[in-house]
Amino acid sequence: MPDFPDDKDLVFQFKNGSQKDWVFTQIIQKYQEKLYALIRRIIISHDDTNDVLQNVFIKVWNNLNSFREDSQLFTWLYKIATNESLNFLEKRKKNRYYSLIDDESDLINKIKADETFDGNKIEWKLQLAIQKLPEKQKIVFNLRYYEEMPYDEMSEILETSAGALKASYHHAVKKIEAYLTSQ
Amino acid sequence: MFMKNNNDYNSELCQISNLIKDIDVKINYSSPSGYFENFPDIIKEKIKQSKISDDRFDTKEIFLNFKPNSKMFSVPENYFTAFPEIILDKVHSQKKKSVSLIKKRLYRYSAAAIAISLLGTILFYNMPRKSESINPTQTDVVMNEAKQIILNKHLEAELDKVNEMDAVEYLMDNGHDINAALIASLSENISLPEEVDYLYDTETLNNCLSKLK
Repeated sequence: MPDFPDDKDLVFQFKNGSQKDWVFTQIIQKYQEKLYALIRRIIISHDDTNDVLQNVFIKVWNNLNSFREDSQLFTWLYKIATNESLNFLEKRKKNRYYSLIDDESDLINKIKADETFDGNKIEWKLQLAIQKLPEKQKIVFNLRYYEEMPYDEMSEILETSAGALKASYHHAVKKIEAYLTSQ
Repeated sequence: MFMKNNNDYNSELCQISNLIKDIDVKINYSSPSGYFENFPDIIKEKIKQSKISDDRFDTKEIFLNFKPNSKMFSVPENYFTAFPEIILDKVHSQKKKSVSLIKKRLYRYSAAAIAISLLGTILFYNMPRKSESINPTQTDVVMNEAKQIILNKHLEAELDKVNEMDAVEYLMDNGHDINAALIASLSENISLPEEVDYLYDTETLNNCLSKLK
């Protein structure tokens, strides 16, 4: 992975510099894969993930000048990405077509439709179990398990107390364990 | 590391049992040659196999030791290489699109407002007073003239020369709610009515704005 400039420098250069396109490209390249993985684990389909990821970066472009840097850049990016993902799922639920389909089973079918899906592999069983979780619990689990994110950072992103997040993660792990042992 | 003190150990054992003290220590088991040299590799292989193929896997092991790699979900080839350029194209075209959209809709709103003002003026000066008798032919002429002004391409051409601030100023000077106009101009879900619609229904603008609320 190439060395990218420090986040503070990137934000400073974007706000003050003339090479906005270059700086923004650096930000995209630095975070695109992490944000993609975060969104993809929630939304599952690549096409939908692509749409949401594009919206995330368009919002970043539109709002980076007014980013107050109270939090770190990556925290802010994760916050936008999780909100956009939840909004996407919410909109899809309201959609007349999707309301006829069980959202959870639809996501599970999307996992199974992935060309790399192998139902015997543990990682896919784990994915199926994660899809059984409520949306916000799913995000907490993904951030903690895959990103190994500290609770205080997660607290900033999800605007929830660290204590509540710990409890949520505990419940998520127990539910996944129950699902896996029942298979 | 714990260091064994042979003197202490022997004296302790003497006190407990002389019998055991006198027994020669023998190695009473054997192991295949090279067993301990290969043992770490055997254990590693076992752990690996249990992760991959054991259907009744230990969930604790999954949670504690196993992290699927990020490539688990397939991503189209070169997706991340091309992605930054796609985003830059989008943000730049988005800027042009939104400015032209706001301008266009503000112009249309202004056009409608101007049309209503013109129509009012024409009607005021040309319609017969209460004391005069109303001539239907005269009314038709006035209405046709008003329609022609509104539909005339010159009106739109002139409006195109007006900058956004002038349009906003005009609307404010004429008592229009500029916020409502901006909301209308920013809405992508609803298009403003055609100019002629304002002629036939005085509630057209109100109806349109109420749809936006």
